[in-house]
Amino acid sequence: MSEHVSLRIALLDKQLVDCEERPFGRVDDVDLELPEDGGRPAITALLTGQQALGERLGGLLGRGMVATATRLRDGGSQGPSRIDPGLVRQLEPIVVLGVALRDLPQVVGLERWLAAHVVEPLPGAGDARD
Amino acid sequence: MRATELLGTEVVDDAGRSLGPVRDLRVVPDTLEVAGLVVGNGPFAAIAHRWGYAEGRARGPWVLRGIAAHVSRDARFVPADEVLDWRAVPIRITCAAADLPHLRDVLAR
Repeated sequence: MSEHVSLRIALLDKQLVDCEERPFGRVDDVDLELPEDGGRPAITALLTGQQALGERLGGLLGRGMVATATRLRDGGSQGPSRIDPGLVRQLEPIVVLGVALRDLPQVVGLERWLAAHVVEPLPGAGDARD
Repeated sequence: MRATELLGTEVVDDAGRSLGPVRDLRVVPDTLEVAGLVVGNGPFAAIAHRWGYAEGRARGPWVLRGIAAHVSRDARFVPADEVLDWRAVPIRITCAAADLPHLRDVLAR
């Protein structure tokens, strides 16, 4: 078995779940710190939410998503929601964090609202591993 | 830099020969460092990598698995240490294509 895993399969578009098993979004992109003088890049943040996805998709649809996310965001936060990779407790089959959603203030209000009012009431949302 | 910006970027070897675009990044689960890149050519290789067939991870019709295994047979793993400049386009590496291990051999280790 290889000592490393595929970013596409293990991270991108994977369900994010907090330590209370509450699904609240997906990994829409990953921020990397690239070394200046060779060596391994490090993941500095998992990005989630409409803005990160919009920036990834690009084009008219992407710009529309970013504009909507910017409009719905509360004044304090800027840029996409960032999650410290040090909070990741498990990578596969879903990305499980070691903290509760309420302790992630950087996850902006829209994702928080969607988690509580849209994702959680969905049939089967109680066990995201399914 | 976003990881998805790296995906699709062309990679060239030390002689300037194209190895194809970046199809995937390999990540060390414990440290979340990037161990290297997966590169490969071919019109259907992108789908094979995107859907997990190139890794042998996706289940599905044997026809699809067979086609995906065929189109991704030349995929190679580029260790991060061999990358000369991550920000350059195309991304340059320090060795020849023939010196890089095949992805299927890396996955079998």
